[in-house]
Amino acid sequence: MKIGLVSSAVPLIGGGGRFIVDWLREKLEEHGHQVETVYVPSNEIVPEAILPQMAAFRMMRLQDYFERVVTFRPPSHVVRHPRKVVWFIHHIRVFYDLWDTPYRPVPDRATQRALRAAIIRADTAALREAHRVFTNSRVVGDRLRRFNGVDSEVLYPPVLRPELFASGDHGDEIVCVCRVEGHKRQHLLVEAMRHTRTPVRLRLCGVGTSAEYVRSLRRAAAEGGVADRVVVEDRWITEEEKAARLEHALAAAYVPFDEDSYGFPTIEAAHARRCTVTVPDSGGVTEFVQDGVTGLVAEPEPRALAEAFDRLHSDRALARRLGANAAERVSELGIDWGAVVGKLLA
Amino acid sequence: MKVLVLSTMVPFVRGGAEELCDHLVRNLRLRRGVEAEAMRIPFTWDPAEGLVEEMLIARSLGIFNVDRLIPLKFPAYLAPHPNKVLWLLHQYRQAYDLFDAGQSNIGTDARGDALRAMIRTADDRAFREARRIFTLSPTGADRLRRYNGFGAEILPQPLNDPELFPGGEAGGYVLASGRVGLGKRQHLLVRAMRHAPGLRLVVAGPPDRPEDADDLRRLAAEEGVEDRLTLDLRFLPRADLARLVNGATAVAYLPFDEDSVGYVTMEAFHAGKPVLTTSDAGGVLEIVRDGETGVVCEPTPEALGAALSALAAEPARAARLGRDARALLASRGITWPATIEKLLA
Amino acid sequence: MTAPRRIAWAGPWNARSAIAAFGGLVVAELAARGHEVEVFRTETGELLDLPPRPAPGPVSPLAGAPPETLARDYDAFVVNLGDHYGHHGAAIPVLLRTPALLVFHDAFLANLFNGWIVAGGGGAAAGPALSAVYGAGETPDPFLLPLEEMAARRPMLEWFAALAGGAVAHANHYARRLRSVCPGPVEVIPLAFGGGAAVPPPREVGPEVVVATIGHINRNKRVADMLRAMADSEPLRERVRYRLIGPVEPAERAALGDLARSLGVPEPEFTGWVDDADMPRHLAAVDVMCCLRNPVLEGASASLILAMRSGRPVLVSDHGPYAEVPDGLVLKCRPGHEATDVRLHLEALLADPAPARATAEQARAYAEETFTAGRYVDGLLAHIDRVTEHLPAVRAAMDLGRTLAGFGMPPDDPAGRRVADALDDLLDRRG
Repeated sequence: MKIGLVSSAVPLIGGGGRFIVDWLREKLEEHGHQVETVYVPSNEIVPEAILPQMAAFRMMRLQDYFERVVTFRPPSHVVRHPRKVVWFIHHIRVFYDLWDTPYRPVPDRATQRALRAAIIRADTAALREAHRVFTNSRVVGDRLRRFNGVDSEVLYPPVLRPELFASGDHGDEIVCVCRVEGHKRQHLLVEAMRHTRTPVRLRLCGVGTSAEYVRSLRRAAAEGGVADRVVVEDRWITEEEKAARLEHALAAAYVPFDEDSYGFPTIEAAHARRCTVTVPDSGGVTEFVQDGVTGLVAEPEPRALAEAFDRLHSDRALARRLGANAAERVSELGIDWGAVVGKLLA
Repeated sequence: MKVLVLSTMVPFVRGGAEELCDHLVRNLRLRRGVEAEAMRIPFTWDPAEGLVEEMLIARSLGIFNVDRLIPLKFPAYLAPHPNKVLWLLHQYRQAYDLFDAGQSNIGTDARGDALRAMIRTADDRAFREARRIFTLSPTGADRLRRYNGFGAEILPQPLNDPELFPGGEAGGYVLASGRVGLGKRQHLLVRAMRHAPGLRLVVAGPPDRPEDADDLRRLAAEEGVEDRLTLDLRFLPRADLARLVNGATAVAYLPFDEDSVGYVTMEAFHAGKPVLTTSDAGGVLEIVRDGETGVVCEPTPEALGAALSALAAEPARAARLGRDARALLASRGITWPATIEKLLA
Repeated sequence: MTAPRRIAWAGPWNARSAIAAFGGLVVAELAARGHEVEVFRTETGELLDLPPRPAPGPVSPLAGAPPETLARDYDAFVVNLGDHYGHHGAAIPVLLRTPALLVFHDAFLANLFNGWIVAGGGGAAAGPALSAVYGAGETPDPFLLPLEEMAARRPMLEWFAALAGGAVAHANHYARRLRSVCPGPVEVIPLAFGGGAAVPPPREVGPEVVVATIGHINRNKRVADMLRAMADSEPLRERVRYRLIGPVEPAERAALGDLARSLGVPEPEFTGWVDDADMPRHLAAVDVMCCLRNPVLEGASASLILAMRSGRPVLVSDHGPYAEVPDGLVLKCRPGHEATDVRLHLEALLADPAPARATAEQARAYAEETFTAGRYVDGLLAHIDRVTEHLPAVRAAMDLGRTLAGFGMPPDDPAGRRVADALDDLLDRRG
């Protein structure tokens, strides 16, 4: 089948929104399909430019090229195609659930409420016309129902090559692999290290857009006297490197603020039979991580996280058990590419 | 510096422009402090009426987190960005020279005139906005000047894998590499062989159409030169092609009125091989100069035969021409690092 | 009734502009209803140096306000347009970037546009602007034509309306034209008028009848028609005195004097410029108000409202806003036949003043009920809601339209319709 994977993207920003597209392409090709990825540069920085950009997506001629189109990041779901499958990964959230928060990009004025209403109406119409609508998490599915009145099915995105991840002995290191950004809150993890009582170690891996944030993490580690137990690898690490780090980790940590999905780091850890330490306000992550079952959920403050780290360090049997549960949970949820490809092409 | 290369795509079709786009990004990334990626937006030009929407789409893109935009093709170069450097591979030629040549999907009626005016106006604006404009060849630059009144610098496509073409001992054969078809006139070379006794010729490259391969084989039999002719008519892996170039005494390349110097010429020159071409070859003649870096003759079997004989008979002269050819190529400085340097200046 | 709104109100804000007086009335009513109104002055040059009128909130020059702020930080952005560059000129650059709710006080805006060209702001835009709205044959050199021709060929109302997110007209006669080009909703709201508060009631009609034309005395006021009516009628010649209350150019004054002499009628009396405070005193001695106009350049007529509210019979040309007054309330004269009809109306009045008197009283009641700030604000707030609802779509259409115009696409190009359809389809606004 000739399949087009269409998404908007901010150039040179990686992360989950890109992985889901790039990995799906690889898997579809493995299944013998012809796939073309269409990334269209787009952004929501200027609220008034959102509708014209959406119109641009709407005008794209795709029908003659593809038998099926799968869309991802907004506003790609507004493209026209008779076999449009939407794999919805998030709204333009500042016009949805973040409207009544400090993240709202515009004043709460009638003109701006009208813009919000227009965006919601356009989104809803585009979703209703889709052949199928999937989301990457329950949180996003709930938002689709609440704001757009659209029902959807959760289709958790698997990691690219689960087989890459192996489980070795549980070492001393808590590993956190994701973009290094303020909202991923690596600083909480570094601060937690000051309060640990065991010789537990912390490794942060990933690139960030703010050099200052990376510096502040190193500074905090030095000031906290834990620099010898905190490693910051601020670079893009390969999948193999990632797997190697998780293979002998004690556990993973992933503490983003109000993430849309459970996050690839959580699932990668689970494939390596590692549990994840997270926090209750991490959004979709807690869909996967249940406290004391597939990981530990601690309050989003350093002492509580330190306690969780220490608990795992001093009770390896617990770390092993939670890790095993996480691995089992992944297979229960059917997070595998065969299932995903089957559903997207149904 | 964060660089976005923006081009267009016809889904599932790949050609030279896609290759160039990939190599450009690869080479941008090799440079310290540069992050680069390419995005390609779908482009449909039929029916011509829809070109308006295609232009509107490109002009409506929201490009953020990019310090420099390098668009390659119409209508991608309409995308708004304050720091835009065009490497112009394609305008919509059916609105310009191909229209004049009667080869356009745009009508000759009033509507067609209106569409061409819009394309022209949009193009001109994009060219005005650009910090710099480069074209691949003088032909592209001439076209831009003639139709849009904009000057451009010429930035030819560099060799993607120069390390494969270090040169080597002359193996006593002339190589005709590149695509095989009527336009590249390998048949003239085969006919020339009867005028160049003892000459060994290797034709290596993918035929444009299966008939082109058959025609060449039939011609070799008719001319009775099969024992001196090797036909390797396929898409050769780069290493195989390089081995043939490095071992040749000279390379023959006879396109008709080519836009640019051509990869074949660059590969030969890089490997220190002289190039035999014809006086009507177009852009190739920019660097292939008779008696300096190669041989230029009339496009007849007789003239080509004489030239081939002379090259084969005097390997030392061929080697000297080849050395000078290599030096000339090097002096032009058409390498990826130099190209990237210009695009990011 | 509705939640308090924050409104940016742009227009002239000085003591000389009638539109500013209207603004003062409406803004005060909005403030009285609990809305927060900020005034942005649209005057240019020395008119901006005139002291501001009193306002219930901040007053600042529009030129200093960032357009993004006006679009984003208020619940509504209202801009008053009249045909005077000095009073309204600062609005133009803002309108080019931000769709506003435009209140059209005039149906003819060529002087405003011309002022913009003369001031150097829109010279380059004039050519494309003209051909875009009025056809390819219209060139801006020279831009201004004789008044009648200008009004017929390039009144510029349409050019401004095309920039509006929504529009208010003060009468029906030009609303259709606004609707044909304005991308947002258009509503007709009768002008709010608060002037002429203390005009003394009309006196009994005596042997001498004073007819008055009020305002800047120019050709448009059809003074000559009045003089011709008098020339054609013995009773009029004998009993009517014609008074012109307002400024007049010396040349015009001389020409009118010459005309009266050649027609053998008494010369009209000129009062010269009269300020607002003196107006009631001047009107006290007037028996009939004359509101003849041709061509019609204004949206609604403040003079007409003032005249009706004075309780005196009113002569009008039967077109534009004047024709929209319900029949029987004013004395309508066929355009082109003003002299004849004025004569007939006045002869009837001289013969028996009672019917005209009764009509005038009805007109007074009608005007006092219709042209109020309260009714205006009711209409305006409801219209703001409609305009706001459509604004994101209008704005997106304008953005895309600007991009297409940047390709040199003419406004009536079929591709423009296709893009508009695609946008409607996206925004689920079809049908």
